Amino acid sequence: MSKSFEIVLVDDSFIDRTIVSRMVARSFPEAETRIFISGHELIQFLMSELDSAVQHAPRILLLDIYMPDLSGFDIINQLNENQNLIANTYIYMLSSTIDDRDIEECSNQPLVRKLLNKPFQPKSLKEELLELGLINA
Amino acid sequence: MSSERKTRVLYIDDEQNNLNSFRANFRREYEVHVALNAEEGHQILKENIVDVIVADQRMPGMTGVEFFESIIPDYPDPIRILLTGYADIEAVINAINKGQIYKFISKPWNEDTLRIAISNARDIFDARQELKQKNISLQKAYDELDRFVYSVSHDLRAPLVSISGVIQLARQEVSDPKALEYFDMTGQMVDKLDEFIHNIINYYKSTHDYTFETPIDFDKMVKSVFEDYRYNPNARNTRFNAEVNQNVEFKTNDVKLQIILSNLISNAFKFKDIAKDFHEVNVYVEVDEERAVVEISDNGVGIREENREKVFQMFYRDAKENAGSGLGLYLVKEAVTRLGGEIELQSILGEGTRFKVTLPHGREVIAE
Repeated sequence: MSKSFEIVLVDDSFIDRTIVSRMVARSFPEAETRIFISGHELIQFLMSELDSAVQHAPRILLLDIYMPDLSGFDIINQLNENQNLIANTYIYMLSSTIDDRDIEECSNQPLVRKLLNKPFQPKSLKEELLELGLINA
Repeated sequence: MSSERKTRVLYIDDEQNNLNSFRANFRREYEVHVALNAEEGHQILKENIVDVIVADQRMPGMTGVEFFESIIPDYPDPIRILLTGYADIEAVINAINKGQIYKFISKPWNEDTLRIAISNARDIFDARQELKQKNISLQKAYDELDRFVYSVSHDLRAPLVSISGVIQLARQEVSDPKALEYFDMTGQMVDKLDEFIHNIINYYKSTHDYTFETPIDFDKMVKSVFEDYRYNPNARNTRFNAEVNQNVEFKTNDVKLQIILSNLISNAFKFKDIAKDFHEVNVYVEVDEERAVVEISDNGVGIREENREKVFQMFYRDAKENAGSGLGLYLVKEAVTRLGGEIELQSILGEGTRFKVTLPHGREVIAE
């Protein structure tokens, strides 16, 4: 049986990846999780998936902002130019930023649904999932 | 003031004789450019940098003032001197309003008057250039400081936030009461440090944000501060109540107002009395034509009477146990003063604390 939705995380920090993956496993056991340590890995995966032509479940993409090489916003720009990579995908930034410029950029980016604050709070993601109708109250 | 560099002067006059005598008089002292009409003048400006422009008012085609007006957008820097007859009062008025003239010299000009005027104009030109350079380097320094502050804040905050995530995980997975106690202690210190970083950033932001006319939506602002506590494990058993009555527009400096609200609400939330059944944080806002009144109260531990003045001092901490940096209320007081407002504190030990902030509609009060 395929899982009802996917949570895909991109974060360069090992500890932050651990926090999110364990909390997700605990709070959303029904979700399939995929974890990438860089934007390149993510994009490579999304491209390979295009070839396989298998339809994936609704997907929540959680992007860290500050990462070496490709920042979260760089990833957004790449996805913007390749919208076929993000079919059936809802994108959230997940960051500890308190820089107004980041906060503004998140609200200006049509692809970004919301900026979720670190530390990752399952409750805040739960609200989003409810709103998207991916889980029931 | 003037350096060794020769002053570069452009002189525009429709009479060739005047141009000739200007050149004859000044060519040793100045780098002289002359033009018979506006068109030639434009051409010279395109190819040369000049410090001072002297233009005759009465020229066929385009007056001196019109010429100045036409070059200001592209060449704002040269200092402008207008040569004009006594009768041209209209020209004088226009020159002031449109041509931004440094000096008028009556025609026919005499060599000494013109020399002094050009020399003074050169000084002004140099001073302005210097000021411009300083402004550019100041702006650069500001931008660098900005980047520095934000990158430091991120580099400090990211690991802190990771620690708090690990603590939350541990709270879910560990059952040893000793371990849980240690995690709580660590968590408290992490929150304290994080609050300190927030305060520093806010203070930094407020020192170079000079707008006092940002429209404020109190309801939105209060809600967003409450939002920060929604998932905070320390906010369990806490009731938040907000009532905002705002029917008129209110403008002020939003960064400073944010400092006031977030610190007072954070304190109200933090200094809870664990002896009570539940903790309560109330925010009441009333805005009218004259002012905005913000009241923030709690049923927490309260503040001793003898300490009520001291809580506004920098680095003073009232509660021995509780986690504070000693910066919050100092920043609040500073922000209130800067906004021209007042802050009152009422508190009964063991019953709770109420802060009342009264702010006038937007204006800045310069600190003494």
